[in-house]
Amino acid sequence: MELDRHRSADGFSQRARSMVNVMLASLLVISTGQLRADPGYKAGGGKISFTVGSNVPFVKISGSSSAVNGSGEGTIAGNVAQVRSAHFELDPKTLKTGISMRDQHMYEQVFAAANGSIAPVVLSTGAFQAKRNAASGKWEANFQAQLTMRGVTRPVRFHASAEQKGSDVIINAEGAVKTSAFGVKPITYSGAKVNDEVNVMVRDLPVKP
Amino acid sequence: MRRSPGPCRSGRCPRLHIGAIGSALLLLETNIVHATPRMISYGYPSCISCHVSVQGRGLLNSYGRGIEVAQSYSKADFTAMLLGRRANAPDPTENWNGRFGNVLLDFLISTRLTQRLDHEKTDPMLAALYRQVIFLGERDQVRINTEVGFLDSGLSDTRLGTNRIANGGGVVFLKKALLEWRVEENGAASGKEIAFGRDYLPLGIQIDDYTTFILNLNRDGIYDFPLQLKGFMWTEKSLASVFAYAPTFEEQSDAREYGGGFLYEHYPANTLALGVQGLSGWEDNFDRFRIGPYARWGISNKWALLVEADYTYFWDGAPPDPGGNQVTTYLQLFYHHYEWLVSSATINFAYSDFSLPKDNLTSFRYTIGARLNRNFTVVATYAIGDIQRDLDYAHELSIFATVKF
Repeated sequence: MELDRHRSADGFSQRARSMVNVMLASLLVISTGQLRADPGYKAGGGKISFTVGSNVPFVKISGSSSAVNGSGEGTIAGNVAQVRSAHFELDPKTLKTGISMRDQHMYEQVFAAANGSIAPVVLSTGAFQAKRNAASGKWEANFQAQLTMRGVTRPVRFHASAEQKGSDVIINAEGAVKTSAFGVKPITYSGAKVNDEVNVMVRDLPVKP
Repeated sequence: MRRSPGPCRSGRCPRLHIGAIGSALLLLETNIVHATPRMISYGYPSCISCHVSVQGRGLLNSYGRGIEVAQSYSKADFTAMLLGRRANAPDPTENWNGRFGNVLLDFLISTRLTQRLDHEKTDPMLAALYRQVIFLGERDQVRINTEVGFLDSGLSDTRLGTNRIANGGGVVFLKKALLEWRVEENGAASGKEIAFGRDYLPLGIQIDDYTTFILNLNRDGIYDFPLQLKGFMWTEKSLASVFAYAPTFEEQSDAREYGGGFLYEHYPANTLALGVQGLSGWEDNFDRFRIGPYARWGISNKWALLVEADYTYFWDGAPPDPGGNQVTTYLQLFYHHYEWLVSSATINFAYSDFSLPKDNLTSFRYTIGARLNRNFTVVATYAIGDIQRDLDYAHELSIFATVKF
């Protein structure tokens, strides 16, 4: 991890900025056994949730998990942060919708690979920049990442923001994922059909050095 | 079917048999289906997602049936198994959706044993319900929706005060005979429907516990299924209904009410429904105007809350109660021990200065219900307060079991 430990003109901690930018990439997800031995910054404890519509009036399937964790590295210079890389992972079996049978169907139909195994979902990014929004004071970025689930890797796009709270940096992010791009077949149950596009949100993911 | 009422003929004057039935007959409490609008906890703000009828209650659609199975201790559906899972579904391994061609139906039978704790009295009861929907049209746009109830001892009319009667009925009674037309449906986004026939009025939180004051003091009791014309309109964030109603002419002649009203509910989140409803009605005994807010709130997957409060103004009543005011309130808090095992505590309070034996009424009920599978539900309930049909005090413990085909 490379960190510029000088202070900026506005007094905002460079260390915190680095954390912010590193974790902007974080947002989502995964990588089991792919984490760096010395990641520099780690994320965990936030909440990842999803919402997907259906053809049933008023029914939107929502679920969440608090088992996101990950790591990354980056640097900062002025109001521009350079994220070099980030990896996040989530065990899909920690996602809960409130109805256990529905959860089981979700694991089997969305996250199970062709051989039936359910591996962690992984989100990894390459390098990208995040800039500080003068109006909100938050660091913001639109970035592309590689999302891997059920053994299939596809690019996804997310928007993320981050802000400093105490010694932590808090990350929020959201994006949309088309499940069909990962080979997930249309999901139906008792006449209900779930939409292809799933909205994914990361809320209050704390990042620590 | 319900008996033909007549005003005070053949010794049937309700004033005379208050004593005979008032102290003996408890309300038909917690519905034999044990369905309660607690699915708000799981992100189902409106009833239409799982029920055939827009306003909820009654038969489940195929998705609702699937959710019912999913929220049972055992996922076995013995009805489907008995029928070899014959279905219209293209995949024969899917659970049966409950339909025989264009007919959806089920049949429930419920036994209940109530032990009065303040008197040496044990009250067994048998009730049953047959529900049927006939779908017509290519997209099931038209439905003929019917419900027939059975109660082993039909409850007679009970006079609550000078001007007020709790409607009675026969051993077998028609709860619903409704023609429903889904005028428009745009997937999950919006829709419109009109319906004509006999049904519950689309008001409030649509519960089935007739000991609650929001029902039995507002003419929404066991036998109140007026003839009505109603329209529904919904979007992803709201549902609205307007209705006009008339008597079935099985009521006492002076209790035949005409009126109209509305319901509007908004869903600021998938787990919150905020509504307001009201009506105005006219009958020989009195006229009334009722309005009030209600809410369904899924606090979490474990907790759910239902609340309703209604204010009613009465006028044109007979002396010595020409008019008055009434407030009925209801609060029910659910706790989901498991998806299939649910407790609830209900508090009811009412104030009325119009034609009731008491100005202030209160009751409390604790219920725990277990859906062992789609076909078999057991429930235990403890209640105390003004829960009798004539609003007298009782203290009781009940257990009941429901078998559904």
